[in-house]
Amino acid sequence: MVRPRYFFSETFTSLKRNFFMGFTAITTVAITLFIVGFFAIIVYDIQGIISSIKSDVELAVYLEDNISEELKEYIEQYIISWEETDAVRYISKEQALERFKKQNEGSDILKEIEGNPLPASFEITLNNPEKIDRVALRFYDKDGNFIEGVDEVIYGKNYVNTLFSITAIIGTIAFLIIIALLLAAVVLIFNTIRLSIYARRKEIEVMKLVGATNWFVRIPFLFEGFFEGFAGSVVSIILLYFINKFLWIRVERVIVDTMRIKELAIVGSGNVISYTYIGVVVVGGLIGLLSSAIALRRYVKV
Amino acid sequence: MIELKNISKIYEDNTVALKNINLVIKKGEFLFLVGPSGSGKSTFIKLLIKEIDESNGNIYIAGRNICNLKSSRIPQLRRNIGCVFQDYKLLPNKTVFENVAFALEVIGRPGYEIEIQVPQVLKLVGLYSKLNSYPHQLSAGEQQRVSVARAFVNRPPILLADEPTGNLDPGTSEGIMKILSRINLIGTTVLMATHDRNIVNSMRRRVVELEEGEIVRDQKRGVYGD
Ligand SMILES: Nc1ncnc2c1ncn2[C@@H]1O[C@H](COP(=O)(O)OP(=O)(O)OP(=O)(O)O)[C@@H](O)[C@H]1O
Ligand SMILES: [Mg+2]
Repeated sequence: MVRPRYFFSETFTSLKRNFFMGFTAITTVAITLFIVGFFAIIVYDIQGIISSIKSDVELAVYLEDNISEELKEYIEQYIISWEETDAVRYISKEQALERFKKQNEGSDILKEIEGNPLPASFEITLNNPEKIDRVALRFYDKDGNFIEGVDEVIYGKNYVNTLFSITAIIGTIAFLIIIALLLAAVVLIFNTIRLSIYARRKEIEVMKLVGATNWFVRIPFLFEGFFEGFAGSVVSIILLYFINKFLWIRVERVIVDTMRIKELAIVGSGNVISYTYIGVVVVGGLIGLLSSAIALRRYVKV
Repeated sequence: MIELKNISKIYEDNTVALKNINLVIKKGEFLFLVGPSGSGKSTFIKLLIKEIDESNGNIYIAGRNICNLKSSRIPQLRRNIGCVFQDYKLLPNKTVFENVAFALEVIGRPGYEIEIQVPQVLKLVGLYSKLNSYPHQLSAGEQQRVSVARAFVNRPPILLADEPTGNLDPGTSEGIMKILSRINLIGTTVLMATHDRNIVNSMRRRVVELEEGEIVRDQKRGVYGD
């Protein structure tokens, strides 16, 4: 009567070992997908900020004080004729001063201003901010001096480029981390499936000898893998929900208040959060299926 | 029904288990495969259900060459051949009922059919009272009868039995032989590998004797030999 006890302890040990493996796999999937989902939301918001900054990117062309009405008119038409131009606004010396006063209200600097030292200008909004260098060059002549009537051209070139490259770097790092985590999740699920195939190898052998099709043998394992991926994705959604609700929505509110950006992941009108959750579940399920499919290919001979 | 042409089996370690076997088994026949231990009886049976692959030759079952069968067709082959394994191959964590039902479940039979067929075939092998026992709670002979029940539960046209009386006392062996006879009587082709001199002598069926992988005797209404 040693056999039953031996038997139960063996089953129990294998279950426990499998439980631990399964638990590890689910946790890894959860952490991975949580990071993926959270990155997706952050990237969406950064994109939103960048595109709103991009549309704010302007070229300011300062005019000489003594420019003739004709030349001013000519330059304005010239600017309008470019295809990159989205809008041109003329700011007269008076308007410039008004604006300056408004911006520096109550400051001592206003007392020191005599007359109107501010130049008139054209403020140009571009439809494609990446062409800003090319447009700016048109205000220079062959020798690198400004064309007639133009005193100075100012635009946020470095600012924009830095923003672009920072996003690219963040994106690349995030991508690499995500790939590494996804691989880890695949390996872990693969291992749990491998173990349960091993634990049920006798059952599999008998199944096949009495005429079970390969699919009949595979489906339970595919289901097990799918379940692990799915369970992990559900956990990650719960984590995402809480971090969104208690942290990220506050960050977005600050962004909205300070930068007047409307389209963000949570506070925006698009269902970005729902899509993120759906995406997380789909990816989780697919990871599970894929991992067990690989394990089955390797360990269940056809 | 079953035809073997020039069948040889050489295992990976170069053991020659079967040499140039030619044999025809007719539909509805009852055949004993006898021979000393290691003569190749189990190898013969394993080839028929493609548990292992032949090294040479061809096997035809119901006119079909099973040697070039696509792997997706193997389940279909096995559903038509019930097999009582020498080592029973019962699942230890399933009850008697579940072990037999398993054979029907994996081929996708509906639940109500399982509820009817399994008790019926367990009555046939005299194990109806042990429905809920686990294999480790059964004697070796009882386990062997569960194996017979599982092999026959879906009424295959061919039944292979690898020493189904190997662990049984003469009385119980006779019981098993009655079951196999009855199964044979309803048209099932039965091939039984055995060491059991008394059974072979008392049944007077066709006897094929193997020795070191070769057929040394094929007798219509034979005895065990010598
Ligand atoms: N998997 C294997 N690998 C290598 N050799 C094997 C393998 N299986 C069987 N053999 C060898 O093939 C020969 C035939 O074995 P087989 O099991 O067919 O004999 P048998 O007639 O069924 O014997 P028994 O009456 O003891 O069951 C033996 O010499 C055995 O050692
Ligand atoms: Mg044998």
